Amino acid sequence: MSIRSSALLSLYVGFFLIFLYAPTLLLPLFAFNDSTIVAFPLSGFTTAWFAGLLDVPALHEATINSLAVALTSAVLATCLGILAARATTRYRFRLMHGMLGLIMLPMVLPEMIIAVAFLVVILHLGFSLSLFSIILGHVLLCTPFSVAILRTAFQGLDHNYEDASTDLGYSRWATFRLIIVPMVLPGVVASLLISFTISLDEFIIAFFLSGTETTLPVYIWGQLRFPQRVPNVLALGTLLLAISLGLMITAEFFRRRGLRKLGLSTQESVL
Amino acid sequence: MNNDPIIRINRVRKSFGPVCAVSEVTLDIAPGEFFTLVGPSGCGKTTLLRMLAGFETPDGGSIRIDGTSMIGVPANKRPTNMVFQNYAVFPHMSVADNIAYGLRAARVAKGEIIGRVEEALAMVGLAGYGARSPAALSGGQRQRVALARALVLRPKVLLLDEPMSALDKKLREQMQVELRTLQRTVGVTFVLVTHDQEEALILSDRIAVMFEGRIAQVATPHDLYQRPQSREVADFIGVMNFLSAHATVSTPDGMTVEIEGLGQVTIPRSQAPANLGDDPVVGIRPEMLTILQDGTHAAGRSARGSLVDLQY
Repeated sequence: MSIRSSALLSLYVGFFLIFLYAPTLLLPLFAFNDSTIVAFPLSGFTTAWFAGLLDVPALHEATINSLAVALTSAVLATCLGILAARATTRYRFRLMHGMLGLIMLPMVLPEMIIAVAFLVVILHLGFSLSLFSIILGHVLLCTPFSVAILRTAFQGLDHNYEDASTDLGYSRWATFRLIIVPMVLPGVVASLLISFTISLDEFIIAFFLSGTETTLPVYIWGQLRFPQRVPNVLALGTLLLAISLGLMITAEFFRRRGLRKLGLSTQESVL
Repeated sequence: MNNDPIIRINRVRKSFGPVCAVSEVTLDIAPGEFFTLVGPSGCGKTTLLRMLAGFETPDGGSIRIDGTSMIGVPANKRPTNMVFQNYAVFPHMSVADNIAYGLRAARVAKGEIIGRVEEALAMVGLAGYGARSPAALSGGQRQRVALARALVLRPKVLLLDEPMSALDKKLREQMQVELRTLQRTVGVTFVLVTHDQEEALILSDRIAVMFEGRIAQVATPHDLYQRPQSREVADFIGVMNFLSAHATVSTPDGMTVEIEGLGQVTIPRSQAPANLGDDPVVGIRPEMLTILQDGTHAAGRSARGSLVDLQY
């Protein structure tokens, strides 16, 4: 490659990365800025916006709701993921690929469609909207990710380990508990963390399906109507960004450790 | 020790869909025997072994181990233990925990477990390796762990599924010697599955050769090599030259056949089947041939020929 085209390529990559990440990086920048107006030039450093988050009861409520929804969705999606991953890696059956396709579909389905569909069904069945309806939507959304992660974990599992455990005197259930679960545990942790993160950040479904109780992203959306609250929202966003990033990195760490343990390559990622 | 067979397999059948893996196999294996199932891949030997272990259910026939019918007995309730092809040593447990795994299922007292694990490790030459992780072991060492893990349960029958195939040639030869010694020491009945006829000849007391789901011949290594009962078996075990012939005279001492290009050859009675067809095939092991100078007087069976090529 000539020097010229290599320089052009570097320039392109540079612009690409700036375009992709600069807006996100502005978030923490203004969150620490000592001014209510979100604009350059920066006027000074402050942590007041973060401190201010502490005395908003509605925010605390939304945070607790979000954590509850994310935790429940993550656990449910991972349980479903374990069952689906186990079934589709251990057994061959009719319509398996069709079934997997349907499980994975919500990954590409517009969230708006899912949200509206859920809204219509829930209201028609006569249920009222609550955190539970948000959880339902989030489980649907998180399960494909959970299945994708757990299938790689289960695929690395040699059937001989199960046979060996049975042969040494254990029932199928004891084998599942003592051999299979520990061996796919890193995948389970990765699935929990990623599902948790997806649910924590999710806005559209939470917005459509929340009744009187809201989650954090919906709360943030509500706050954007008040210009004087914007720096607070930026501070909150910065925290969420840090938490999400931290969870994703932890999840990938666990997933790779799991694959290494089974002696598999850690190069390719499911996400 | 009584001499009733420890394993009685009677007319066992197993199909996978349209593919018949094992058809009408009948076999007795004596206690303390080192018995080998050998055959090309896909001949049903592994399926037969897995039916003994309880991982596959026969479609028909019966399997008795130590006098008890195994029909409907799950793998975890059978007096058999298995060494798997890739050893299946649990990677998330230490070597000692791997060996103690089966003892815990059998609810052996804690104090006894420690002693038996030590004993098993010493038996396979891995004393002091208990605390190690399987990831830190070589292939040969992992195989010893798998052996110890199975033998520590004192099974009536130890099943071995191609245990040497993952080892390199040198290590394989060493492990074959060790396995044979170990079997003689513990006195447990071993049933080995292998596609390697050489391995079968080295290790076994008796060998069953299988082709396409059927047993072609059951014999000691010596008899199998010296007196194969069919061309298939003769071809599979060792190297054999096949010559087509016509039967001429049959006497109580032997049989005289006319081999094309070689003339008449007399075959001792013990080497010939009772009834020859019209066109029998004579097999000659290459090591049984001696090349002599032209003009040398050769007693008995000899034929003139020319040396075309020489390979060391």
